[in-house]
Amino acid sequence: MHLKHFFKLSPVFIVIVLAFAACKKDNQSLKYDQINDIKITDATTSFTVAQRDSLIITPTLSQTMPAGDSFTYSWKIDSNVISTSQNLRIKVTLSPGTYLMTYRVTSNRNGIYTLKRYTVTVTGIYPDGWYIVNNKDGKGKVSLIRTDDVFFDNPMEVANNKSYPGKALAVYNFGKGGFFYYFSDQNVYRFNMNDWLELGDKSSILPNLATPLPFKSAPAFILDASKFDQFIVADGSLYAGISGSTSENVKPFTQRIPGDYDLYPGVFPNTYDLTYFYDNAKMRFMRMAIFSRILEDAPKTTGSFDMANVGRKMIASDRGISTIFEEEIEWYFIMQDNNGRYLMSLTYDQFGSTLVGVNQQMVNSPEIGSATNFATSSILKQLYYTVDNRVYLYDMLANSARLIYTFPAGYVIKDIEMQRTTSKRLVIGVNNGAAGEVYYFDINAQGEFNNSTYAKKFTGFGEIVQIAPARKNL
Amino acid sequence: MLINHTRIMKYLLYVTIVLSLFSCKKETVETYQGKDGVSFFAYTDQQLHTTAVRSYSFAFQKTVKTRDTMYIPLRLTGKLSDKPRTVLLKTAAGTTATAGVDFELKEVTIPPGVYIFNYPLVLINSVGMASHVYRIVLEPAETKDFTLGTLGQTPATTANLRTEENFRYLKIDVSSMYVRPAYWDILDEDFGEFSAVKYKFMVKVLGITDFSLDSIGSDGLLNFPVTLRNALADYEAANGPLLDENGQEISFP
Repeated sequence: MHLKHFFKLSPVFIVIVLAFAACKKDNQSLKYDQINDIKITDATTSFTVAQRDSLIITPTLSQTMPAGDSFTYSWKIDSNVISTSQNLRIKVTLSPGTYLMTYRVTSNRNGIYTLKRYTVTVTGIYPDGWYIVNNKDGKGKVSLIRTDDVFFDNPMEVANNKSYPGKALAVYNFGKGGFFYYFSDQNVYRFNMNDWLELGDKSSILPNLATPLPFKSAPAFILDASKFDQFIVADGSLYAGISGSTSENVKPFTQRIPGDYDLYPGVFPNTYDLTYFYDNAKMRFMRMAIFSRILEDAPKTTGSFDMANVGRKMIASDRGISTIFEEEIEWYFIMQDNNGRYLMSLTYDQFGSTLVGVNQQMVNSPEIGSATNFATSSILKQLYYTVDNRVYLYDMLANSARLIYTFPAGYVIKDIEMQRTTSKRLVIGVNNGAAGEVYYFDINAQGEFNNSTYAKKFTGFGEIVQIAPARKNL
Repeated sequence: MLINHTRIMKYLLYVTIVLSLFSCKKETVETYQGKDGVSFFAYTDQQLHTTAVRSYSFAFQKTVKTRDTMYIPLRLTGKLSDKPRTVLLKTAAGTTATAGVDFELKEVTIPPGVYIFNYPLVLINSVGMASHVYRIVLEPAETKDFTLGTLGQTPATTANLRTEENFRYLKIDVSSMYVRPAYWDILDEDFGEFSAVKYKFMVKVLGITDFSLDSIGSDGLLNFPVTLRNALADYEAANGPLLDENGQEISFP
């Protein structure tokens, strides 16, 4: 009976015993010390800095008990410690991009630390602006006017710590790529667009030339609309290569594409898979399809003109409108025959197919027969042309032009370029003897220069050969 | 009834307490047990997998060779080994070449720790190859270390960006004649129809003997025909049309 009660009550005993065993008196005495509460109170946590510029950050530290405490500091990007100083002062060598940087302040007294995260955006040292190709004392160089108007006289020599001999012929960049080509009368080079470090020369760019460089005249370079092919037209000959948007994808150019032709120095990507050229020998358009290396005659067209038989010599070209991803691009051409000069164009339809566009003789246009430089607007049916020191505005619809600006006597306009992203700024390079100057003209809604004068002026160049936008080739 | 119910509950409690002491037990993790395997290996985009035929001709080499080695990628499946292991290939049905005369298959030692291995197949420039194309059909042979490995496709992943093929049989055509190489399928569009004369002209102009895509790259595929068209134009200007072994005029598209 007793045993029965014992078994009956045993679970209760087990629980009670376990309860006693689970609890134990805690005799510890807790001590509370006030700690030095550190805070990093910077309001600015995002910084943008150009490559090779200095990045300086002086954080503001607040402490509740500063006396007697000291700290260890670390600045980290990813897992790399870039500084152990209280204030950051480094020369930025990172590639362009956006980085998260962590600042850590650790108390040497008790090891407690506080963190602050910063965002650092590294831009190329030469991220955007205008290339000014010029020759000084018989030697070529490419200067840069950065978008913030900071001027760099000869970045390629500074960046590479070497001299680039020969006279400058031309410079061309990729539409969206990270590098550009510089042609001199002795070589051709490829440079990284962000830091201008040299990526190669003719031995890797044009290793297959049947005849050695130099080209006798300024070449033209452009990507096709797909960005998978690249073309050089030089001395009337065409060279093609596989491209891409980064230098890793770029392959060497071919030998001269075989054929009986003498091309105008221009390349006209018109649709995603078709790029046109103009044969000034037979006065007709030619074309090459994407990933083809066959230069073929353009097919006959009806409409305003026959692409297979234009019968005029091409003098100049510039682009018009394009689709949003630039897979279709309109092109304007200045053509010439014995009767005068003509404005002609290639455009595209809604299905991305080539269309012939305008074909009109340029009348009521002073000195048009002597014009040497042309730039079209991508928002207005207008183009600008220059003769010596004079700038004319041509209205395509009215088919007439008027003088809108004259540089001082002795100045000769060498090149004009539209800022293609807006068509609101015309950049003009002029030479006063061997001294080059660059002018920015802002354009109003009528296509005329704001206040009939320039907005900015840059001096100190050698004799200007070409001006080119740093970020936009098409 | 109440008493019985309490008793049952009580015994259940004891049993639960006792069982709970033995409820957890360390369990060993099951691992793969079995013989490691070997199969042929190729990336899908190389188009060298089981339906393809690899080819070799002693005529396409830069120098005259009596023997040459063709390297055949193999994939090992199973556990990696920290010891050397041996692998062997054997011929399968469809083989017209003669072992010891046209080729040699030997047991080869694989270094420790590798899972992809190039098996050296020795090809012999035999008398018969001057007038015949012999086929060798290979499959992995059973060795003390390996059996036939896992077959099929290994999909591309973020770590391995190319889809892979693991297959049992590999066909190789070997000759010392100027026979159309299997890789010419890819060259047809840009280089035109194969002929021995065209091939010799290409070797002379470009200075290379292997025109497979792996060798010439995408830029070679597009750029070399331009070089060849220019060279052919020069040749024709000096000598007239270049005719192939069938009397057809050579051209590059």
